Amino acid sequence: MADKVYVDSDLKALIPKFLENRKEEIVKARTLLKENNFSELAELGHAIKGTGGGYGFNFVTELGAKIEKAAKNEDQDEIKDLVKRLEEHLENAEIIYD
Amino acid sequence: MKILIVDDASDIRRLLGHIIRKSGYEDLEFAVNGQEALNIIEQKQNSGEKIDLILLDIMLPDINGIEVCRQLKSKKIVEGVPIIMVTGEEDETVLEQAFSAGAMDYIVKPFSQIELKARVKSALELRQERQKRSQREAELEDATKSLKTANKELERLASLDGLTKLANRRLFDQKLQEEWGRSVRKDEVLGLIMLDIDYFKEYNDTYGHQAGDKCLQDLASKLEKSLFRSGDFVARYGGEEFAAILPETDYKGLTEVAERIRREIQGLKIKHENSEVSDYVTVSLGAAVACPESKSGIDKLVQAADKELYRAKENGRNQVKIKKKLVTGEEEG
Ligand SMILES: [Mg+2]
Repeated sequence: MADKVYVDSDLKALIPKFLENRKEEIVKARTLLKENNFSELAELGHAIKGTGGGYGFNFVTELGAKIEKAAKNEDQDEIKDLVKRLEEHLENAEIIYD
Repeated sequence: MKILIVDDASDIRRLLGHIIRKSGYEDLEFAVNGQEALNIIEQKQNSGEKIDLILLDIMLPDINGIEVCRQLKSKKIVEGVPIIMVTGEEDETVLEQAFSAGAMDYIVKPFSQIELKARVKSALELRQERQKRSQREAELEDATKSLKTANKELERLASLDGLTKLANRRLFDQKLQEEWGRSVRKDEVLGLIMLDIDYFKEYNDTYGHQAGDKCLQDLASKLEKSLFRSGDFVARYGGEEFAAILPETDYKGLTEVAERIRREIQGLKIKHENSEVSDYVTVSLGAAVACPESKSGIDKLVQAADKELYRAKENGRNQVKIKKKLVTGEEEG
């Protein structure tokens, strides 16, 4: 089942770039995970948290917060799982402009 | 309204820009880190541009946003410009630091459009009010200044005799009061000379009123020059009558000054063929010295000098008469 995301219709033009940047972040997160770079992972989680909700992607913000927390705990498995969920969420998201 | 948006995350810059533009503010600039923000503001200051609002991220890759805020606030161009901190979380300590660094407000990411718009709007309103106020203050200051200058000039003009540019009677009365008070305090004597042009009516009849005016002007400037001590003061007392106040001047000193004035005015050699005492314009002088002890007695000094002037006239004009006895408050006549 697709995750429904409600986005303000006048942000429509900004969404492709938004999604593209999140995908880059997912790639970056996986690289950092391989390097065990938890401090940068925490920063990345923080940034994801700050960005998502503003565009209407509240679940992205939620996942960002969790990544930040998991990175502070240096919980590699948890981060891996969260990044996967983020990827799936963005791939399956059904964006509804209103 | 010029707005600077500082954030390292491109999505946040874009989102902020989008929402703010939609609120009707088109004039936006962006910086991706603290140093760039400082540079932009520095450059604006140098080129005389203005800035009306700054939105500033706290988590920046180079300089911490709070430090950037502090540095921005120290610049003249940012005086009265609201800074809204854009922060990842509502950390009390961080917010306190932001406020003490000069931030006006903060907004937490992720932010809603409505909230952001409301914050921006009220910050810009504050900015406008501040500008209006400082403009009004500046205008008021200017107006007060020019009013003061105008009043001073008015005061000066009101104290001067238009023809001779000497002090007028009003200022003379005021000055005499002051000098009298000073003499009481310093326990010093005070000299007063009254002088009057001899046969001035005949001078006017002979040479006309314009020549009469010219004569008054020449005498006035001579009088000013013959009274060279800094405390001495000369005024046009009436039509062809002048008065000089000489602080700390006794009978002997007064005699010297009065005689010098008489000689120097005759020395001007202003032709006066219908004068009965000389070929030139001359003056008669009466003087008196007072030893002021109390507030009363000023009138007595003026009366005494005037009486001496009358005696000089009666005695044949072109001469000096000085009262030998000191005038005091208690004395009669
Ligand atoms: Mg940031």
